[in-house]
Amino acid sequence: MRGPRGHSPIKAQESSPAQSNDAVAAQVLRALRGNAAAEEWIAHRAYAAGLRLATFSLDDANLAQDVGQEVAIRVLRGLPKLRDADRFDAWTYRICAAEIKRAAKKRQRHDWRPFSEGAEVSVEATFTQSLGDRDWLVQALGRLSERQRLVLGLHFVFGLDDREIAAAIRARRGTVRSLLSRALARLRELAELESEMSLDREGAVANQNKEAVR
Amino acid sequence: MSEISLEGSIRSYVAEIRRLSPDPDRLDSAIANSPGASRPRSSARSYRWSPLAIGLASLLLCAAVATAATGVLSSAVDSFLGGGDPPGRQLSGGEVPSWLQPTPGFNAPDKVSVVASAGDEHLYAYRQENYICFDYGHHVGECRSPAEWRGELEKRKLFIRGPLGGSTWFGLSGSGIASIRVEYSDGPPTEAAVTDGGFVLNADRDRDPQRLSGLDASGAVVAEQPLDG
Repeated sequence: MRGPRGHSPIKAQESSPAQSNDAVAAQVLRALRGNAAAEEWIAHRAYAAGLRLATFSLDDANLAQDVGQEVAIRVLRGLPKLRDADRFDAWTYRICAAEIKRAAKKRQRHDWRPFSEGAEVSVEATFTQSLGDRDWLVQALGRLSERQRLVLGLHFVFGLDDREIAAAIRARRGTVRSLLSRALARLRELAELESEMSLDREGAVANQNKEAVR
Repeated sequence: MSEISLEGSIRSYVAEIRRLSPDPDRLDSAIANSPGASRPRSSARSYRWSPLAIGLASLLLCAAVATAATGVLSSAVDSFLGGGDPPGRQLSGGEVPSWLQPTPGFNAPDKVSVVASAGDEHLYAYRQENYICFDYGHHVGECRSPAEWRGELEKRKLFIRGPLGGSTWFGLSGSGIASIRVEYSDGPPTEAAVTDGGFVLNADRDRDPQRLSGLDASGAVVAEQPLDG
């Protein structure tokens, strides 16, 4: 996959869907003909997509389950209106993006998180201790805007390129490239700060040890 | 943290996320709350029908500006609507598309046929309960009552149906049409044979399709439909 212009190539994980597009389309057609097993398969696929993208974008397990469930319901209800079974996944991604935006707004209204889009929180206030890579990343993602996280999620979780992401969030490709580029730049900036702080911490510990020896 | 470890962090986090599975109870609830879900539909009617292709690719196909001629159904389609076998070549065993194969909870059609083909794309026909169905490749399909089909197909001699936006066009035609021709703003036309009242045609969207014509066996144009690019 080609990365967005303007940032160094962090390769997106391929979404590696277990099923080919043809197989997905076949299941969609079966579901449309009332095949219960295919409907369940469709619901599971849609739910999983919503759950995974929401987990990346929102970092809230319960909210992610809500999003997954809502995506599954919307997909099952909207299936008869889908014009081309080949476009099932793209359509599902659009629904996922819409549901995540809705969930994010709801969360902001309820003020569930201490930071919100655009809020400036000092890095030092958050990274007060050395974190594992995973926890560090989750916290760093929390420093991004909701939209940046959503775009990053579509890129990395589903392996979508900028054109596909633009279709999913109904934005221009240039906007998507910009969001991706800025999000990755911000993560790098935070990574560098974390690295510097980690060195400082190690230095402080070494000095304390020296003092203790004396 | 270096760039490499940033990438590694994202990869491992995404790998962790991909292992997440839906909550089974919530999934069941989602299915149960969806109208029509998890139970076989009484008919295939709820399966959407793809309307006359108003657009092909990003082109818009002008709807319903057909020739003045009133179409008469092809004999094969007419027979099918009247209770006969699906038109075209009957499929058997593994030839039947996967989504029409018998599976638990699915009332699979007894007979499925291929009306017309172009490469790997096929126009399928079958009867499901009291409905007449056409599937346009694996993209989309429609099931309607014989009366509905008849009312629609008797209006004109040329119908493009199926998915929008692709280069493969599926369609049905009235009697006396032996082939279909697509004319472009530039270059030679594309032609495809009509078999048993149906056709599948690979159009060149990049050359600005202008007109769809139905030709009789002598090559004379007997039906036309402008394509508005």
